[in-house]
Amino acid sequence: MAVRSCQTQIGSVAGQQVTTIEGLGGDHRVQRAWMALDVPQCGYCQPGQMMSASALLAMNKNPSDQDIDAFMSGNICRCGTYPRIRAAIKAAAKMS
Amino acid sequence: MENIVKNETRRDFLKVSGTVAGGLALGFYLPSGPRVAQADGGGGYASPNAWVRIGLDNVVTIMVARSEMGQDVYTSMPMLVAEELEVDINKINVEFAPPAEVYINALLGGQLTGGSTSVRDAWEKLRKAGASARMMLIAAAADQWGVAADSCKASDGVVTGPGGKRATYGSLAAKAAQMEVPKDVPLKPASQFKIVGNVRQKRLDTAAKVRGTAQFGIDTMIPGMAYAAVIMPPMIGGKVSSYDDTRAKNFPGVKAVVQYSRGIAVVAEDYWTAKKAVATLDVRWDAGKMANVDQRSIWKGLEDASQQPGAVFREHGDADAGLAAAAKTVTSEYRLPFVSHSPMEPQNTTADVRADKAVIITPTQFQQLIPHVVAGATGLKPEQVEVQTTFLGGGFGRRVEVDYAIDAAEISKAAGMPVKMIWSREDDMTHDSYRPAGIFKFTAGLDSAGKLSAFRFHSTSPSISSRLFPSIVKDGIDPFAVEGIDNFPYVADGGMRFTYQMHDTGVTVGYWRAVSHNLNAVALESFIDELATAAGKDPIQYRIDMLDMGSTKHQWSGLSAGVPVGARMKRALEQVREKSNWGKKLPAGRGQGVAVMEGYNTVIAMVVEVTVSANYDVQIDKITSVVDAGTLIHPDQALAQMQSCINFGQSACMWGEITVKDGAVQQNNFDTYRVARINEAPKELNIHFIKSDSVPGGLGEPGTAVVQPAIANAIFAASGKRPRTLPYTPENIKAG
Repeated sequence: MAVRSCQTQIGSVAGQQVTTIEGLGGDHRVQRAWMALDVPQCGYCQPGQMMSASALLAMNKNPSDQDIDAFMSGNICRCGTYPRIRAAIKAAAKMS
Repeated sequence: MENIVKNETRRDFLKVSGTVAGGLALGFYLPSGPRVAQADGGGGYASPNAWVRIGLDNVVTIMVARSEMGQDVYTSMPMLVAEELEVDINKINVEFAPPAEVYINALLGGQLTGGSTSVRDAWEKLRKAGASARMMLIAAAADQWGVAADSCKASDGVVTGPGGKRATYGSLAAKAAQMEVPKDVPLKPASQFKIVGNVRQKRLDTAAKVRGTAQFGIDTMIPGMAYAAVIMPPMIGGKVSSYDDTRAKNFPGVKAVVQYSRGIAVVAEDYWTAKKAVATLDVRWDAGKMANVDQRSIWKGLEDASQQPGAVFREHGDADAGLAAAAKTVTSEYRLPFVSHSPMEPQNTTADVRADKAVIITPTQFQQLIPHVVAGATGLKPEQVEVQTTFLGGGFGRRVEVDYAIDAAEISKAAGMPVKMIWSREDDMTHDSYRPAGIFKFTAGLDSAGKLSAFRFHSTSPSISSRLFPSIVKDGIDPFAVEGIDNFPYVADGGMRFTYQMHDTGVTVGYWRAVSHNLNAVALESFIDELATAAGKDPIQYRIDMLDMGSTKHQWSGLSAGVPVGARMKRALEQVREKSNWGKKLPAGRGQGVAVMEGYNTVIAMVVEVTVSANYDVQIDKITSVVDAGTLIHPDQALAQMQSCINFGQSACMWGEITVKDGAVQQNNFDTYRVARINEAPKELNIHFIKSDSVPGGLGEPGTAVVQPAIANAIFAASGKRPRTLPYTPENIKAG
């Protein structure tokens, strides 16, 4: 499950395992896809976008545009990287 | 912006002089001091000029003197240097430059990032900086080897000479920095570019942004730092009258509660404590002059002002006579609201103000101004203020303002400790400098064939520059209020007159991505569509037939004066007609709309396809655009900027509206101020760039404006309703 750290009180995740962008390890397929497609612009929202994308791919191996739109619509990007996010999620789905 | 005070701050090693090459300021380190400096933490380097540092370990660092807010200056600007320096762009380091005169943006007159000028200003200047450094490295090698410079060659960070001689840039750097700065710096022809225009070039900041290591302002940590949360007057221009901080002061972890010019700050050992404590402050506000201002009074004020004649900013022939003689006249009025920048990273600044110096670490678009305003706020001298620019979590013009840096400096000084001040989303959205609202009136005369014969335009809106750069406002004209229509590209032989009426509503207004193109060009390109309808003509052919093919653009701000645009617009319109499959059969409820614009020396034609439901909900199905932006430095990121502009313009025109009640902004987060989500992004987005070897045009902004009237015109084609009040909500469409 992906949650937004800016809206989550730390007490509410007590006793649970939390993965942040650092926890993806740098070479996660989502990160590789994001790099391959140069998704970020300002980059500020991108850790959140990638955490949501990795959560989506963890439960949906091959998400459609509709799946992506539905799952990712909670993460705002003001730079307009949405077309590349869609493409990068699909690219990541094909990576091992 | 000639009134910007020249910056006098220098780092010790950064002694600069200004020479002029090709009309652009090209600065070099003076030989008075050692030009071989020790970088922090060892590893020496030498600097042939202000943009290039060559490490004695062969690592090349290129200074970026513009702010990276997504638009790719972190990569595109070093590409220009590296192209001529002959180094591998993917092996260089990038550093953000401090404020210094040498880094002034010649198109804006200050070291600031805006106006889609970074690459345009850099185009010759940075290639010359790279070439000059390369020539000095070659001269150093030639001198060392006792051979002629023209027998040596530079490639991939190595100089080679006759007889297999070879020296790395690092080994030559110290000597090169002492060589004479070349006066004549020839540049490669475009045919020899290896880096510029490379379609496979990746952004140099992607890895850091993907791995979460990129340092935004909000990530700043300095020793001994405390966190500040603030409360500011909800009313625009309000002030603190009195406050009770008893509870806040007694919060465990709170270090200080301080009043500063604009509000009250709680300084605590962590942000959450500061935030919780600030909520316990009991503040009485002096509402000030805006106390009774609301939407009704704002629009009444604009309406009344729009009855004034305004100042003429463009005139040709006798527009009134032309209109009187017309076979038919069309009159229309457009209204655009205030909109917010709301970058994803809320405003923040880390400030360490001491008795004899200050360090300001901040995501800013205008680093040059900060030493001066912080000096004014703290009693220090500008040269005692060091500014470090971080990555910006979005800018869009909001970070041309330096208000939040002043606030943090005042708070640090009052609290007597280094602080990181972080605004909440609510603070940010309610204390923005908003894109002006305005009223835009048109009357056009058509001849018996439906052709435009006379044209009258009158706009009424607040002036941004009156606050920020008053010296550029002359005779009632703010050049940034008339852009997007001062370059009116159509012929009206019977006469035309364009007037602007300045009107201050009391709401703080600021430069918002593409500034008044978002007002004037949005209204204009919607109105031109009305004329096509009135004339019974195809909207693309109608525009092409009316284009002024002979004229050069009339641009008050001088950013791209003298560039003929008619032919470029015609080509872009013809190509977008073909690529969009313009005029194809569409099911009921769907429609195509077109718009064209020149801005920042870039021409964009765009066709939008929408579906409009019976309830006037709009879905954007497809966008096709043809862009003539001259030479593309980093083509993939030119594309990214068009994607970005479309998203930003879509958010503004579909939902963007800031409203005021009792002097306070009513929207404070993305639940009440809606912006595009991924599910609302166009299903299909096809951007085509016209191949060109002319000078680069700006790309950070113009698309933001073009997409808006194209959407409006598509809504009309799909629904028969033409929204003349923005945003394009179901109510506003229905009223059209």
